[in-house]
Amino acid sequence: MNDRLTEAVEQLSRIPGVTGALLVDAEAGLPVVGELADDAAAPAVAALAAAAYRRTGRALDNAKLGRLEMFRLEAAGGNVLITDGGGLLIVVIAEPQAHHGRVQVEALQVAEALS
Amino acid sequence: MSDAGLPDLQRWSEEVARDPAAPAFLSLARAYRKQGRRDAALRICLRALEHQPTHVEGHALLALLYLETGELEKASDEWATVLRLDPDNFDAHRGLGFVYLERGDYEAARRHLESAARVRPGDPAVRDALALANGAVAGVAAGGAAVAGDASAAGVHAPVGDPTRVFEEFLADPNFVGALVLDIRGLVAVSTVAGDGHGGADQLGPVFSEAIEEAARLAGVLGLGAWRGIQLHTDAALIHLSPLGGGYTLVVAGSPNAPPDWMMRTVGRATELGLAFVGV
Repeated sequence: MNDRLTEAVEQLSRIPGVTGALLVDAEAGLPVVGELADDAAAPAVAALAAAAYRRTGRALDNAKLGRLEMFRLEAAGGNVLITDGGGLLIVVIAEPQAHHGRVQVEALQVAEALS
Repeated sequence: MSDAGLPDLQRWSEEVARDPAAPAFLSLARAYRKQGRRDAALRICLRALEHQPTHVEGHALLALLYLETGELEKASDEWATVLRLDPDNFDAHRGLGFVYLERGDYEAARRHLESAARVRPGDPAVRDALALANGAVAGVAAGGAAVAGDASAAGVHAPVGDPTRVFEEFLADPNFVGALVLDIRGLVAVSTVAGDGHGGADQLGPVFSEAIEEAARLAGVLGLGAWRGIQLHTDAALIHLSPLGGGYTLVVAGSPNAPPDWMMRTVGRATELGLAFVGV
């Protein structure tokens, strides 16, 4: 199981422009396995990513806007994509110039494989 | 990656159970807040502050908890306490700035937001709020209209026209679900929604404000700077949020089956329409 998760993170980390990839326990908001530029930030990133996904998802569901499947943040210094699969959140952090279509496709592939 | 979270929670709980004012109270309360257990986080903070009434971060956390439960007066009191203990505290000045903006006390808002901007000149939310407050103060000084407690009109041309018709041209598009403009308070200033009209649009402000708040936090901890866009994919809609400037946020929602370029084209046009309406 851990090999599969590690391979998933490595697959995402290999995408050009990706600066970090993390699998997060969606319920607990804790990092399971990942590669970040600053590994010390992993617990904070995991907790915030889980909170962002969970709270936004709940709000959208309450507003009858459907079940959240992907949350993508674009910022001046990079982008963050969060999607879910099998009780885990897949978090990918990328530079602004990364190919975001590829990041999205591969993150969704990982999510499907883990579900 | 070590799984340190659950043992930490247990350790902190045990320390706080032995001593409510133990340093771990802050970590425990923050963890409970992240888990959505606000009542538990409040109890822990209040108990600790009985023993440590000058704990700045404890009061700051308490202010956030009160803010999140809608208790603005209590949040303001806590930020005021923080400032007595730490006069240059960014979060307290920003928080009070926003509260005063909400109340229409633009002079007080400006004072606090200027203090916040001195501590963190690059903060985009403070910058936008300060622009509104400055404009409102100037408007009042000039005897201008459209400042009557409405932060969304303050300092800029007052929106004109019917706010339900701003995005009317999209209603003929089968992929269009709706478009909103939120003001700096997260309230819906403009809305056009396909199908069932705009009856429920007012409820959507807090939904998207939540997404923005979470995104800003995540961008902050990752050092990514100001947010420029948020996309939410659900099984019922594709939703795009982007800052319009002046504290306004544009929200566009479309069918999840819309063509790949539909959202960017529609957001581009909606941005033009939204900016023209709010006059930023």
